[in-house]
Amino acid sequence: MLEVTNITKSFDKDGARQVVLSDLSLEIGAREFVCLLGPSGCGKSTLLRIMAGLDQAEAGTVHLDDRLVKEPQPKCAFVFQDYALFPWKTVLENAVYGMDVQGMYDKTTRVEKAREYLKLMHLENYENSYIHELSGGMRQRTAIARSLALEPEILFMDEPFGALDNFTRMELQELLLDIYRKNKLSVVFVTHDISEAIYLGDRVVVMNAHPGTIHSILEINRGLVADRTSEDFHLYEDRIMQAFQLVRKQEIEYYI
Amino acid sequence: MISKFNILPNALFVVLLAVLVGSEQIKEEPLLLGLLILTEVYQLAVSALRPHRAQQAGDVTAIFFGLVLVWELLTVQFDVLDAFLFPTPERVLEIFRDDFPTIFKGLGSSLILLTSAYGLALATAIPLGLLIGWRRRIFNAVQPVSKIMSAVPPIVYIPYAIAILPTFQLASILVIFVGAFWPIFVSTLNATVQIDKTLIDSARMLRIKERRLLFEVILPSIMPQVLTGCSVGLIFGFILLASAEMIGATSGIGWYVKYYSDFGDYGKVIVGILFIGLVVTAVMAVFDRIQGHLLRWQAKYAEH
Repeated sequence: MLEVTNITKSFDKDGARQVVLSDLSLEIGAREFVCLLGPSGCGKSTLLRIMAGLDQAEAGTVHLDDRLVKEPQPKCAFVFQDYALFPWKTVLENAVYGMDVQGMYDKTTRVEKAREYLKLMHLENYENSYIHELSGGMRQRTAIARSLALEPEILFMDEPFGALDNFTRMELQELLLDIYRKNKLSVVFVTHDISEAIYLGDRVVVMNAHPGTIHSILEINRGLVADRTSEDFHLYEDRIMQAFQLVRKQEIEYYI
Repeated sequence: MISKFNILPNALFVVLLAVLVGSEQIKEEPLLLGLLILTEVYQLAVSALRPHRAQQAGDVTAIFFGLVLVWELLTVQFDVLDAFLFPTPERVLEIFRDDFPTIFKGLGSSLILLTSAYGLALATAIPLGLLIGWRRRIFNAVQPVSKIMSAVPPIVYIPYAIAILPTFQLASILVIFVGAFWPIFVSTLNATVQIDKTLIDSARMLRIKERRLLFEVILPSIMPQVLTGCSVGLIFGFILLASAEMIGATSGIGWYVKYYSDFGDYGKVIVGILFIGLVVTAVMAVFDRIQGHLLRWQAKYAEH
């Protein structure tokens, strides 16, 4: 449903042209959970922003169900690493606002819907809190609830758990998988955490840096990774580690 | 219980009482005595009822009593200051009481000028600042012009404004408007230019219309900076109001001070100055309440 074709993107950095993404193609299916995994600087966040229509590629196209993506599309939601909540609104008002802007439902139904998703995120007791009163994990849960309330077909997530501590991160990973299973949506999830990518994704897209290209795509058998300490989980981790070793070797060869 | 009470303000109160009782004037005009007793009662009440504010109430009262004591000693007891230039505290309070209706009427005409000019400044500076800050091209074009314009002290426009506009009211409104406009406009503009880009992205994902983006996302987000500009603008407004009235008005609080300075009636001048101080303080207190309400989502303004 989401089709990325021959995307190229570069930035000007200190007068020098730096290619961030080079001739990259990728397809994301309906109801698929895809993780974009790579070291920092590999362009995974830029790729995500281009897919979401927040940035433009210099060459190549993105199509969502055969519509050309040049700006944010309907039925898409984006979860940012630093939450991007509206601090002047309460938790409930934050969750309602997106539906309001998009003209979804009437006022009463919007509040009902918002409450429903806040409850899903275990925030029912905080709906009247302001953002500064919440912990990082609660803020991100608010941001996810606000996105889900829009009933998106695609949820873009840019290192959403990157700023959280380990315990909170694992708790949110569980919540996210739970929601993904219950709702009809695709998730494109950017991370630099190998085990997070394996645990969450149906597919893990392993990316190289400088310039950003796809190194390999790993299909994950969900049945095998439900237990993070299992043998199979470690096998997947090893395969990705090897991929990054390769990246490093290539770099060394490149410099010689 | 004793530790709750402050020694200094109470001691000063006793000293003041002693000084005043010895003075002849106090028997004819007990105004000052009344004011001091009221202050002392208030201070004691605060100390007893709200112990956490006792220290501040005591210290403020002590400063007030100290100032009155010095003033009283210099003008009445030792008579070292020229009575023509420095009226006694009793005399000032008498004038305040007798002239209050005139002053209060003048305040009415002053506040009409101020609110119309300030309202006009708010209604234009904030939307313009948002729009120009948001549209990069207009910003680049406007910024050099606005830098020069905002650097001109608005007080220099007063004579010209009086010359070109048919009434003094219109001229003052224009000048107060200019004085209040720039701080509000510049702070809105700069805050809009520097807005957190993720917040904008998060709104863009909703496919939001520009108008709603400006007024429902950018404006509340930069409200702290806008309010700082508004508060500076309000103070400028007061300065220009007083200046304009001193130049061309026939009523108002600035006019009152200027008018009686020309007659050398310095008792009335002091009353006018004190009154202006009280009015500005009261208006700024209202402003702070509004600010606290608008920024209640910030940790430092959160209601306890």
